[in-house]
Amino acid sequence: MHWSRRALFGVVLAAGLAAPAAQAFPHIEAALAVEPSVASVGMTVNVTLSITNTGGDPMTLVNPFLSITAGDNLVSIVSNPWQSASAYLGPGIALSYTWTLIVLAQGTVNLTGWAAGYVNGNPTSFTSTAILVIPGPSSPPIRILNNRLRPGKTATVVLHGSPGKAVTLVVHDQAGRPLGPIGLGAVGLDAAGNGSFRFDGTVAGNRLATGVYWIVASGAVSAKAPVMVTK
Amino acid sequence: MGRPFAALLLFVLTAGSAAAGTGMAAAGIPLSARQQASGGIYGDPDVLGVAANPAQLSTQLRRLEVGVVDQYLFGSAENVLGLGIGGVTGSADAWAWGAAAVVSQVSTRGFRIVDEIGDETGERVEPVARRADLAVSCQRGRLAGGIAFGAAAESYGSLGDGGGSGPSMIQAAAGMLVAFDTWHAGAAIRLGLSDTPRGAGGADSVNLGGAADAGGLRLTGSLVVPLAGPAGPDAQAGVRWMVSGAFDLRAAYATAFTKGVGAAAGSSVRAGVSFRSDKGMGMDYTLVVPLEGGLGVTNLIGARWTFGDRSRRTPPQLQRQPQFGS
Repeated sequence: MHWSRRALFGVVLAAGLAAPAAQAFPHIEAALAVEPSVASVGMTVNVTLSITNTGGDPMTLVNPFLSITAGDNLVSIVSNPWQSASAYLGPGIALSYTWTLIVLAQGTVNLTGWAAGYVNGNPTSFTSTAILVIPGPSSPPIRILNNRLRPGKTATVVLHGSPGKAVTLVVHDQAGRPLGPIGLGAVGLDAAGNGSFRFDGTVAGNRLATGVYWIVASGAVSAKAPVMVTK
Repeated sequence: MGRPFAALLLFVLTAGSAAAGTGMAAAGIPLSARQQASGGIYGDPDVLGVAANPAQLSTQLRRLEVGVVDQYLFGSAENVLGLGIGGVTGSADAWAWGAAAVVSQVSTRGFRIVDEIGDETGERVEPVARRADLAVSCQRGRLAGGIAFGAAAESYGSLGDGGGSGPSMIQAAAGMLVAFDTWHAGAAIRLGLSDTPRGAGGADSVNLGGAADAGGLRLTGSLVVPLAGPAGPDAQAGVRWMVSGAFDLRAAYATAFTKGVGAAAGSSVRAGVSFRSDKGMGMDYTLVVPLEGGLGVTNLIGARWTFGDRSRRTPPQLQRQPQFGS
């Protein structure tokens, strides 16, 4: 079953323009991911909703939904996930659904995905959110999403600078001392000057201690932004 | 004696209390404006440098020295204030003793927390770190030694889930300095005494360096080696030119490495100027310019007041420090 964009928003409108609240079934989790999470106009991105059942109760009649809660005019859905009429999420099973979007304009797109179905005969749903950043000429050169970094989480460093050139990110402590680079080296920005890094709070394999650090970009982007690392 | 100690303790504890780690701003920021443009702490002894090597205190040229510093780091995104006072005896022929107290505060421009999708959570991080050090030293002839104890604490503002209280720590330092006619050298070690995890903040470290006079210049080199965390060695080299009795010029180069990474992680060039009056007052200005873009420059301005003559008690080379009021 294919979901057209019109049909999708019909479902969302029927639900009151908000994703249904998830009920307490902690063994079932939803996760929404955007790849890439920073894109340029004209690019296509994949939005994937993953539903994982790690418990004993199956979820039946699973249906995926995607809502663009902000930035609806910045993207267009070009393909929807294939969906069987009655998906079954048994114990130990994971399902994933992917939408493909094309980027139309600069800005920020907030996405909410959820899976609705039945657990133990009760209607329920599981929700997750994600962001798609489309920097433009007026975008800040550096921006950090999830800038209070807890263990097991990652921050996204969103960059905007000279198109096609490389950027290196180095973590500095508050004394100005460089602690080491993020990633394996320089990464090139795309043709629109956009790029992103993932930062998990480690430098050269060492987890940083609790504190505030500066992430400093050099090369195609010359800027810095603070991030707080929490143990 | 009890009240000053309680005041120092209160100064530190008002920044934070929970022991959690050593990624602390106050633990690793050098204070002296003069030393940051001189090639490290061994170019010019300074009361603000005694937390790094307390043996410097015994080489103080006059009986009493008061120093203040105001640093603007990262293009003024961060501010460091430091105040130090040190006194040394000069009456005994065999031994000279000294004691000093240094307090400092690091405050970083606050920033709003955003979540994974870029929404503000309503929380704002307001980092403040404070540190207080007490140092004692002794000198006999060409050899000086000293120990220091410091307490540091950090806080991050009113954050949810108790995240506003940052780490705190107790640290000790021991150092020595030896001075001859045309050169002096020293080394020190700083170790955390509290049971917090040792790591990235540069809390535990060894520093060593020296300075030599040649051709009217003072050449200084120093090396700081962190004992834990991702930071690697930090090396500095500098030169000081005493243009006249009233002012001198300084220039230095610094480079830092990361453990496990072959290339230097970052480098900077530094320039400074120091002025002195015949009333025992001095002013220092230093500019630190990173060679990699994006970090922003650091400006430091310091002032010193010195009182009492004891230059005859210092080793020969250190007497060629800028002479206040002489």
